[in-house]
Amino acid sequence: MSVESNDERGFIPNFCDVGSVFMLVLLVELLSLLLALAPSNSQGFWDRLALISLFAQWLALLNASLLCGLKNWLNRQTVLMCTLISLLIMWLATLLVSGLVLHFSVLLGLGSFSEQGQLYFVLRNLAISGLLYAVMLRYFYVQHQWRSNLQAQSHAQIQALKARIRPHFLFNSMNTIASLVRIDADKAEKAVEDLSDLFRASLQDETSHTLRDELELTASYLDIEHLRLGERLSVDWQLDEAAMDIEVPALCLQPLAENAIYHGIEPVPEGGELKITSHLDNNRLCLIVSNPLREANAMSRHQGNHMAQANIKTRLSLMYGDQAEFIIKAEPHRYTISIGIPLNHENTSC
Amino acid sequence: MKILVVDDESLARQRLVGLVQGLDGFDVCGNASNGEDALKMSQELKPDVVLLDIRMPGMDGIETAHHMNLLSKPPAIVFTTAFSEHALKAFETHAVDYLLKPIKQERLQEALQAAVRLTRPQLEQIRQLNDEPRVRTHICVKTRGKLELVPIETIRYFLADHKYVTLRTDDHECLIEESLKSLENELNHLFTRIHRNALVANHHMTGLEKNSEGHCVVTLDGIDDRLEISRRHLPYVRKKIKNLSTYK
Repeated sequence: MSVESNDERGFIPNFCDVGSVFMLVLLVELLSLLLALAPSNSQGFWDRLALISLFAQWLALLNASLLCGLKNWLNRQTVLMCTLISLLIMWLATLLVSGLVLHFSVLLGLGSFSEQGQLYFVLRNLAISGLLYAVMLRYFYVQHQWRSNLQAQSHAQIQALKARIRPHFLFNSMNTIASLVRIDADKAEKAVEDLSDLFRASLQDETSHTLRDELELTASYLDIEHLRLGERLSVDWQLDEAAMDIEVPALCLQPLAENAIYHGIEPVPEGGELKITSHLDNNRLCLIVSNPLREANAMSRHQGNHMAQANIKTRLSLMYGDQAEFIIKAEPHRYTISIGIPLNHENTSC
Repeated sequence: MKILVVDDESLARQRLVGLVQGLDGFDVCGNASNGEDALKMSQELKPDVVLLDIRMPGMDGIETAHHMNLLSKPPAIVFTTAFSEHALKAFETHAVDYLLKPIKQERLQEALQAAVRLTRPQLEQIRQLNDEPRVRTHICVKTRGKLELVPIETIRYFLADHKYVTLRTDDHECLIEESLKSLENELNHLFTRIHRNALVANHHMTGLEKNSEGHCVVTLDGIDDRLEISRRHLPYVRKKIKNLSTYK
């Protein structure tokens, strides 16, 4: 069934859409065919098909229109409530259509039903619709899950692409290099090499590399910034050698360093010290980036975009599920982000 | 023509100075690494054109340009920037020239030859449409024809009196030509209106007192002045002081 859910929570498809209703009619007709084909000795095949179709189509359309009407309200309920209510709707519609069929039974050429026959007829219909409903619901639910997963993943990928290199940084670096070419060709050469490393890493498809790679990358980045900011930037590295070969998500540290410079060092005339720490703690790799924060600029500029943070957070949770940690600590004078990566994790991304 | 180069990055400055020196008819009269120095130098050196970096720590380029416009003979200004998508649209809309880094020499020459003084509305527009609109870090005061910058964090209060507004810091006071209303709009996250005629810095308020006439007054750190709080503003001011003291 081609269906779309507008609301993130709602997994009941949108029955207000012509396309979905058409698909529903088609599906119901196939089901009717299936039921009509099942061996029976009471009527001929065509008569059976006609009657079953009539019954099923009425039931389906009644159901669809009810679900369409209640769509917005249903999508606000919890999954359990939604399931129960839509089951009730289904049974209500079944009762109604069954009642109609019984009422017009003579007209429809079914003959009259005995009282027990009527009850039997209604109960059978309720059972069929209930079972069908359970199958369909499962299908809708799985489809909904799949869809939201897909959305989250593609969203993460797009963000990853966007968050990679700040254009501001690129052009500032180019300017620095243009200037260095005249003054100090060796430094210019080194800056071009560092910049290439950085771009190579961000253009690559690999999703993870060793912590050593990530730290080298971050160092290349900071070297370039150091040329630009001079004495205003100082970096305090505290690294645990034992952690160097652990696999970490690519670009999990460099964008944070970039943020730290952009928000914590650049806006402050006297600059400040960036702290980058890695250590092993309780079966976990902890990576910490912290930068000074001046109250004045905390107020006016720090509400900038949190794209890099959100991006890293999403990638961490795609890779490690809820075993990963991403903690932001904003103190009056210091802004710290710590990432916790589980060392022996089961892959939860699929 | 005399050119003043302003950029917080030393390498960027060196390059720009080199580029200007390579042009006929233009001379670099000085270079500054921040807005405050730039303003001082433009008073002393009277440049014809200022090449002004937009993104600088402390006082940014746009604020510096605002203050320069208060000079008796304001210089023409050409902004320089590495990248900032949205702001640049605003610059184009308001016919404010800018140069993109790394700057090309031909483009620099064009810009310097065409450089004109900016008007106040132009500057106001680009300030508001900037990517990260910032409030001023300084108030510019004109005393005896000279410009003086007062850092906003040193200001205790603004007091309106008929035509002028008095600005009071811990060690001096001066008159400015801005209305209390516009100051309040711009600085409302740092200052609180306590009376029809007074705006007080939040983080300099220390407490409330009753004066001899029975009026409520606010006390401030570093100065002995007591400012009266009007009855209408009292509940709000009281709440604010309470919040501030719990925050401290």
